[in-house]
Amino acid sequence: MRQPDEESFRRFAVEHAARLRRSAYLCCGDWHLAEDLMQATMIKIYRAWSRVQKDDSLVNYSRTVLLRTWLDEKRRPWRRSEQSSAAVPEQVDEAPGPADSPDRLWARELVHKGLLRLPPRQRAVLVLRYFDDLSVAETAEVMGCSEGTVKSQTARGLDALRASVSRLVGRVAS
Amino acid sequence: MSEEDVRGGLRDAVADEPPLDFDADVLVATARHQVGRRRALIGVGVATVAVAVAAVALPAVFGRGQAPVADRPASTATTTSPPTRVPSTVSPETPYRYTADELRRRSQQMASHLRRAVPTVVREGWGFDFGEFGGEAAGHFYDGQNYVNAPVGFTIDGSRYSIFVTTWVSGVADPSPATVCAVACKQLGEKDGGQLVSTTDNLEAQTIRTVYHFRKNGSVVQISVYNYDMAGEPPPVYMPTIPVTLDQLTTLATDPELGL
Repeated sequence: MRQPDEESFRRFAVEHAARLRRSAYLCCGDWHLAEDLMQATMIKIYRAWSRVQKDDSLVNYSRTVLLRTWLDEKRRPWRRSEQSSAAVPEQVDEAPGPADSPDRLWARELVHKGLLRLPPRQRAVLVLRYFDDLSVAETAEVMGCSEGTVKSQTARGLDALRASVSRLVGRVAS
Repeated sequence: MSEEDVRGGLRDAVADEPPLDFDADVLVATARHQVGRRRALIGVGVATVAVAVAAVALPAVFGRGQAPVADRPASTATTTSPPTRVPSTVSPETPYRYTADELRRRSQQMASHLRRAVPTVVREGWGFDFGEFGGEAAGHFYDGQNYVNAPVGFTIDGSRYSIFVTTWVSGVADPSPATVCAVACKQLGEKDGGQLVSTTDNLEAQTIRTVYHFRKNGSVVQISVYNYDMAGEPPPVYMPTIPVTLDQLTTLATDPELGL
């Protein structure tokens, strides 16, 4: 890769590493795995840099690569068993941290735990729509599907998330 | 729970993220190293192709006939040019919605077939370990699931490797030739009216080689081989090479007994 290209890639990587890792964490639920996914995504983008660097939708392209990298990762059984071993706690830890109210801890725990119980593509669509704040059209572009599919997956994902959170609330309360 | 609650919950979930251990110089060095290794492998591939072409061309020069193009197996080295984005040639269809029971039954059929097919195709292998089909987890199916997959572990020359079989219903948006080739791919031609594409992923010591068969009916069969036993106990032991060829993967990916 030419020196100027490498410099522009470096700038892109520094600017977007944290964002990609956060999205990866919301999808996979593990900061270490999220870091691996972000690094793998960046390396794939590096390989394609000469073709994609001037692409208007470069940031969304990075989301597509991250999504594919995560879905590929999930298909590996030993990774899946690692993830499934992270059981949902029976009780929410309400010990307050700095600047954290118990209510905030409660919500954080429940929404993310609920999200991790959804099928992967529903999880992804909720992260893209409600964390990355992408429009329906942008989400469809990132996921490589139609806008109709994004709308239906979002609706189903929200329903499933609500049901999942309700079940978690029930388990904690009982 | 409103959409705003979801937004807030997701924001809060990453509020206490650990420090980012990220060094752009290290990342670029790793990426450079992998690209270099990839080019070296392509160089070896080109040399292999040259030998193969010579082997085929010389008898032809001296008058021996060849099988018709249509009867030949799909080529595994049709191009060494830089990968490009490839538009999908498969017309999208409405995905068939399988029930969990249908997926379970179909998976049992495919599992029985794999027990015969994989040892036949991977003749060098022994100690085959056939994992259960499933989706998110082995043996787990749900209504509307659009794929099923299963691992197969095996030994060649005393080292463990694995193949991962994934079959997708017709009409899925991903994988498609466009999504698979978004980063890099190799076109392998066509078989039975369906496009064949391969990819190779190198990440540190891990190598995954995959052949996709995008079938005429819109379904997809994806066969990946790993340079380690991905279904075995972690940590994986990575081998420097994969002793399973693209032709062998292509044979499995185009097997009519596999597919949803």
